[in-house]
Amino acid sequence: MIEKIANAFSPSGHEDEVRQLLVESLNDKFDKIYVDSLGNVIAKKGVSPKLLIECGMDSPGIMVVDNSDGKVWFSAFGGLKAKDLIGQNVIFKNGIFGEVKYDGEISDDAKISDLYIALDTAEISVGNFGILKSEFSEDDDYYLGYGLKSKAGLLTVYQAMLDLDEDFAVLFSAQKRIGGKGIKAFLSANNFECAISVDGFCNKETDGVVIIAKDSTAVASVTLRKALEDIAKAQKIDAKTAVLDENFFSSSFLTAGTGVDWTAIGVSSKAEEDGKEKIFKKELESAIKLLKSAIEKLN
Amino acid sequence: MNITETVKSLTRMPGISGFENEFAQQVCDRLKEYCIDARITKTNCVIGMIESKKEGAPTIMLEAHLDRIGLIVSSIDENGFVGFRTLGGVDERILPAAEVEILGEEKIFGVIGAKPPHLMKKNEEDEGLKIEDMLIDTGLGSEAVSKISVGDPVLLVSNFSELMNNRVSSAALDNRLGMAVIFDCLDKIKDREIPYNLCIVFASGEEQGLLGAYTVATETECDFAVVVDVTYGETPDAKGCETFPLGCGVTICRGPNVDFEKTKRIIEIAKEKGIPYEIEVASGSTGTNAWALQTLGRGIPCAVISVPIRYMHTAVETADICDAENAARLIAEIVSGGEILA
Repeated sequence: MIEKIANAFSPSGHEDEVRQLLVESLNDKFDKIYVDSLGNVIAKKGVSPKLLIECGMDSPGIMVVDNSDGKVWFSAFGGLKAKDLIGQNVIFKNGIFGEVKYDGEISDDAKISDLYIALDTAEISVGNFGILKSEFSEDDDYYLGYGLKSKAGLLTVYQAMLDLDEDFAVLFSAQKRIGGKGIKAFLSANNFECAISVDGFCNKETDGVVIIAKDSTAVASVTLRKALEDIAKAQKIDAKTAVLDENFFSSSFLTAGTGVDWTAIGVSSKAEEDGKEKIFKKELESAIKLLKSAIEKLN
Repeated sequence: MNITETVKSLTRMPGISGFENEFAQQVCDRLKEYCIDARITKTNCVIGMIESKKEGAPTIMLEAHLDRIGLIVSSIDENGFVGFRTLGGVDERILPAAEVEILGEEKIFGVIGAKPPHLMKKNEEDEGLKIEDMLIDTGLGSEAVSKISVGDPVLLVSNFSELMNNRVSSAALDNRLGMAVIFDCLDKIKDREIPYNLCIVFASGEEQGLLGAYTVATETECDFAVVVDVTYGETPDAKGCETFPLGCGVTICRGPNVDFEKTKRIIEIAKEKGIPYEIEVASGSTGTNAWALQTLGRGIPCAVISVPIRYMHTAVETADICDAENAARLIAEIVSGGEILA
């Protein structure tokens, strides 16, 4: 299942493969599971759970903007930068993939608009979506692949929630990477007392499993964050508190309805020289344990 | 009410954005002098209602954000130096040599140090210090790890100073000045018959993206909102149509973020009552909570009245207290007159 999730084609707005995987595998494990109009997958235990667990279903990706001159030109979304893409393979929904090329010297000044994909343009149309080809692999200690950071939350939540009896809801949010759209749409019609997001991050100053005190936008709920810190301490889970510059979409929760108490669990991913992202199994296990304990204790 | 004393007392209280709970309680207690049912919402906004004796009266919201900019601890190294990030748009240029208080389990005083100019390389001098390179020195060594925690809020220390010509200087005039304007207004109208219900709101999280204001709209039902905030004061190096001289009155904002007709009426009231004002033009967002309030729920038509301050988002924000008094007078006239809403 981990490999299936990691390899699934799920650029923002086109999360069908992940959605199908989740609905099929979770159908008999929750009291209710449904897909809302924006494409979020919601799984619920209990009648009206007060705790929401959230993770994104989508990956950053690219979108073809022009192929009229024999090259496939594209724009990018979800935080992909030019230097992350050069030399990588981009795969499209029809299975076609090709390498991202840049004719200049590789530097921070490279722009997405100067990159193209070496492909037979007859097989690709303007408006097609692509993602970095996963090339997922694993070893005793870690998982490795392109774009794995965006799947870290999903991998954690999926494994944490399966054998719990407590009342809680899970939001597998669609279009998270383009402004937390799925979260906003879902919370505009659903009330929860508190919410915990789980997501990957890549930060030079911090690694491991972290409890978010502040993301790039806003301060997390102090009460909820401290509750998670206490749980980690009591359970001897290796997790530390962090202030991160990454966007965990805190404001989507803090401004919903009358406000939802929110914090997040972050799982670090290491960027390798070839652009692949590595997630250590030990850290993923710590995040799973922390999330499971949080669901048990916060109910 | 002495508005200077109100501003002074409000600027002494922390209430850093994201950590407003204690301050919200103090504000709520103060607001209860005017609204018995004043309460604190889940997001640490303070809301109180003053009911009109007029049956079926429309409701006007008077709003000022209660949070202030600050810092948050992001790291503590093995020698006790404390790294930090900003909460709100702190002017990073003024941080070196600033005095701070880390508000964790215990209050710990510290200073933000800087490398001596003698030791700086040419590019460091040119580029200036980046926030990730600045550190707080509390005097603690390795024991800092047990006394300070990542996530602790950090207050920029400043003294409230009275300058010449009715000028005052302090951190957090943004927006304790706006709060003081509302309190002064409430004092002015406390014995008047007001033809509107008044919904007093002190919103949290404005400095982090108007967070509290977004939740207020679902807690209240208002027909019109007067948002009170601060705006850019004119200085020799900051002139032009976006700045306003101190001591020349309040600013009344015009633009798509505010209601055209009601703002027009407010300008007429200012003229009729001889209250000095200037027009501030915002072609998009006013950068105030009006941006959130205008589009939420059924949508609340807004007006924005601001007090000019110099050196915004520093520890020496400077204002003319007469401008704040005039803002309070103007708002008192708006809610007393019965002409702003039918």
